Amino acid sequence: MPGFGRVPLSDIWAMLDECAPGFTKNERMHNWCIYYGALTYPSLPKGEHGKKNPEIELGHLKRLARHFGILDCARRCIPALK
Amino acid sequence: MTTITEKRELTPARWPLLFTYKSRVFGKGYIAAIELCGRLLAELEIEGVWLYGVNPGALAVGASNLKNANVDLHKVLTAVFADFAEVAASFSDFKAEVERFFRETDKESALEWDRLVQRLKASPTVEAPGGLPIKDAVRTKLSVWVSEQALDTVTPDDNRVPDGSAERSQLAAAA
Repeated sequence: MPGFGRVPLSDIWAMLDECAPGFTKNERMHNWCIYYGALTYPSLPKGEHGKKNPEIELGHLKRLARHFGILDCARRCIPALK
Repeated sequence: MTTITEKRELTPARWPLLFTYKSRVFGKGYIAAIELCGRLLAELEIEGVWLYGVNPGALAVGASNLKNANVDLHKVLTAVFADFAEVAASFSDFKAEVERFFRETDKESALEWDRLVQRLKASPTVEAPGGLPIKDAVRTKLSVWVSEQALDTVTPDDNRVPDGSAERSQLAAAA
């Protein structure tokens, strides 16, 4: 499961809608902070400055999905994770 | 086929790492000194290396090589702590957030880290990637330390130049 490669941020939000229902997010100075259940992922990069739908490296998505325990579901939603 | 398998055994693509981090962060009316000794899983890929957090778990750093990953690890952690400082109303809130971030991990990654350490212990001839030093995984205590600094402890030496940040973060293979 490679960490290099990119996915649009909108795909990550769609994946979380499917795999982490009820998740919430806050945009901070440097990163997105994502909350799911009792867990927090405060280090999702905001991506290239000024882009409406920036691309995020797969490694961040992979770690996020594993941290939230939703990796199998994330793989189904985003085939590049396989 | 056998050759490839043997090569993989000699130079594993996944490594258990330890890291140290030391920095200061400015918050709302306070200066916080942070020192960490944490765990990472390194995955070596053709394009470079990814560091995945174990403690702290909610962390990933990708770079072209381990030397750059070491520098980027410091930058990524400092950015996360700056974000914490942005929202924390007080030093105690900030401290609690850093400690929670450090301790939050997933069981699977922690077990994998332990398995990889055992594999390295069983292969004493394997050299750590990128010439990293090897630290004893049992004797090295994981730690998170956050303290409030008095203003008179700050000196011009605390002004960091961008490329000097690697001096405040250090990676080591764990065995």
